[in-house]
Amino acid sequence: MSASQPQLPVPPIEKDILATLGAPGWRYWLMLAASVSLVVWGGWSFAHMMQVGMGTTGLNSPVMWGSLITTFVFFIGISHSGTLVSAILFFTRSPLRASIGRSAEAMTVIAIMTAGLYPIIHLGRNWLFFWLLPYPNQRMLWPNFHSPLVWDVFAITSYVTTSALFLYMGMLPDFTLLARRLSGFRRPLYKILSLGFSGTDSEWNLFERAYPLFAGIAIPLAVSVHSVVSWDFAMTIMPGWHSTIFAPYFVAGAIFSGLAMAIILLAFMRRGYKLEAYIRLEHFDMLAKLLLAMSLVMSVVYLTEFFLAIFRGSSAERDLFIWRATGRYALVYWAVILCNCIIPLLAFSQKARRSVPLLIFIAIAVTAGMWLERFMFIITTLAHNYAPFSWGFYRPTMAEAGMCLGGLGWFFMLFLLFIKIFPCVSVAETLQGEPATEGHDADGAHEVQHA
Amino acid sequence: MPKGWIAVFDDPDRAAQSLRDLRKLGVTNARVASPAAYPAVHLTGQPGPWRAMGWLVLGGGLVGLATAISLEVGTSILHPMHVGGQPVIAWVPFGVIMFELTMLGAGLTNFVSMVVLGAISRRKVSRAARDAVLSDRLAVEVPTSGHSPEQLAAMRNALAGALAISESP
Repeated sequence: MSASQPQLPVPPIEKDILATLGAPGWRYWLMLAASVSLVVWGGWSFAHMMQVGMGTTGLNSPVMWGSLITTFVFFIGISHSGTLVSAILFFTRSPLRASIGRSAEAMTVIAIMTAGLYPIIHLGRNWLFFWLLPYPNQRMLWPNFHSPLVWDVFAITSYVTTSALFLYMGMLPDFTLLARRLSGFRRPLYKILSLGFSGTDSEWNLFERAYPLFAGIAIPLAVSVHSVVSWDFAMTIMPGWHSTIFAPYFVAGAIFSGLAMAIILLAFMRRGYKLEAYIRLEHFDMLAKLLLAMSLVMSVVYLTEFFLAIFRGSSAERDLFIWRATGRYALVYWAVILCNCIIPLLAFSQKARRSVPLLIFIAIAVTAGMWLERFMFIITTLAHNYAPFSWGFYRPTMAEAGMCLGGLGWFFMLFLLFIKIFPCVSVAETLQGEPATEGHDADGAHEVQHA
Repeated sequence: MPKGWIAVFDDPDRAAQSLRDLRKLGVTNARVASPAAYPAVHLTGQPGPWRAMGWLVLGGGLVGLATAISLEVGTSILHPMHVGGQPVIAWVPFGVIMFELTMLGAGLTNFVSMVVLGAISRRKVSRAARDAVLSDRLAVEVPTSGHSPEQLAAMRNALAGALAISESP
C-alpha cells in the first residue's frame, strides 16, 4: 500500500478542510491587512511609549491602572471560554464540539498570548519583565509569592501551556491525515507536527485516555486563572473591588465574553470558508442560548453587586456604586447595562438565534460591553476611592487606544494565520461523530446526512 | 506463508464486525490503524500502555506540587519577609501556585506520556498498515503465522467486508 492514493476520491470533510487551506481570497487579505495595520499602529504607540515614558498614556495618580490593564482582563476573559467550553462540550459529548472546539481552543491560546502582552506593556520598564520570574539572581531577591500579581504569572503560564497542548493534542490525528493529501510547505510541516501519530489502536487508546485527562485538567485550571485575575483586584481593600463575589463574577464574565467572541469568529469563518455543513445554524442556536444564559447570570451579578454595595454599610462603597451610575462615567455604566443585559435578551427569540447577522450584532455588543465593563470597574474604583481629596479622572490617550486596538489586531491577525495554516475544524472528530455522505439542501449548501 | 494480512476497509462498521468475527475464531492479536477513534480500535483486545496514564499524570502532578512547595518555601527562607501580616511561610497564599504548578505538571506529563508511549506502541503495527490509513480508509492487520489452513480460510472469510486484502511485509 502506498501512503498517497491519488486515484481515491477525497471525502467531503477532508475536501472542505483542504479548501480552507487553499489560496486565500481578497476578503481574507483585506481582513489580514486591517489586522496588520492595527498591529503596526499598536507597535508604533508602544515604541513611542518606551521612548518617552508612561507619560504618553493618560495614567496618573489616582488612576494608575487604565485601558492597558482593562485590555489585559478583557483578553484573559476571551481566552477563558475556548478551552473551558471545548472541555465541557467534550465531557457532555455535545455535537457542537466537533465543529467549534478547534476554533474555540485556538481562540483561547491566541487570546492568552495577546493578554500576556499587556502587563508587560503596562510595566513601564518593560525590558525588566523577567524580574517577575523566580530565578537565582545577583539582587538576592525573589518574587513575593504572597502577591496576586505573581500568582498571575504562574496561572497564566500554566494556562497557556496547558491550553496550547490541549489544542495541539486534538490536532495530531488531523496532521497525520492531511499530510497525506497536502503538498507544499504544509506537508513536511504537518508530518513533523504529527509527532509520528499514525492512528494505531494503541495510539487511539492512549489518545482517548489522555484527552479526557487533559480536559479534566483544563476545566479547573481555566476557572482558577480567571479567579486569580479577579484577585488582582479583590485582594486589595479598594471599594468596589474587595468582594468575595469577584472570582465567580469574573469567571461568568469571562465565559460570557468568550462565547461572544467565539460566535463572531465562527460566523466569519463559516461564511468565508463555506463551512455551512459543519458550523450549522443549530450550533449558533445553541451558542446563542448559552450567551443568553450567561447574560442573565451577569445581570444577576450586577444586581447582587449593587445590592451588596448599598446594604453592606460601607459608605465609600455605596457612594462609589451610585457614582458609577450617575457620575462622570455614567455613560460607560449604562452602555455596559445595555450591551450585556438588554441587547442579549434578543436571543429569547428563536428567529434571532438563527439569524447569523443579528447574532453577530449581539456578539459585538457583548464584546464591547465586556471591555467597557472592565474599564468601568477598574477606573471608577481608582478615580473615586476612599479619600475625596484624591478623586480624579482618567481618559485614555491616542497612544493607549493604539496599544489596545493593536492588541485586537494582533489577536485577529494570529487567528487569521491560524485558520489558514491549520485545519479549523477537527477532521477526526467529525469523522467519528458523523460517518456521513454528502448531500445538498434546497439552498444549494451541502449538508451532512447523518448515517 | 505471509507474516499476515492487511485488510483495508472503507466502512468502520464492517471493520468492527470483522474484528468481532476474528475474535470468535480465537484471533486476538489483530491490530488496527484508523483515521478516527472508531469502535474498531477498541476491539483488538491488546493490552496497552494506556492503563498507566492515570498514574503517570498523578506522578507529574505531584512533581509539580513538590516544585511549587520547594520554590515557595525555599525562596521564602532565603529571603524572609513578612507581608500583609502573614507568616514567612504562609500556606494559604502559597496554595494558588501549588495548584497551578500541580496542574501544569499533570498536563505536561499527560502530553509527553501520550507521545512517548504512542511512539513505542505504534511499532507493533506494520508501516504498510499505518500508511493505508486515510480519512475514509482504515486497516486491520491480522498475523497469520501458527494457524492451520482451515483457520486461515475462516479468517479470510471474516475479512470479507474489506475493500482489499494484501500481505503484510
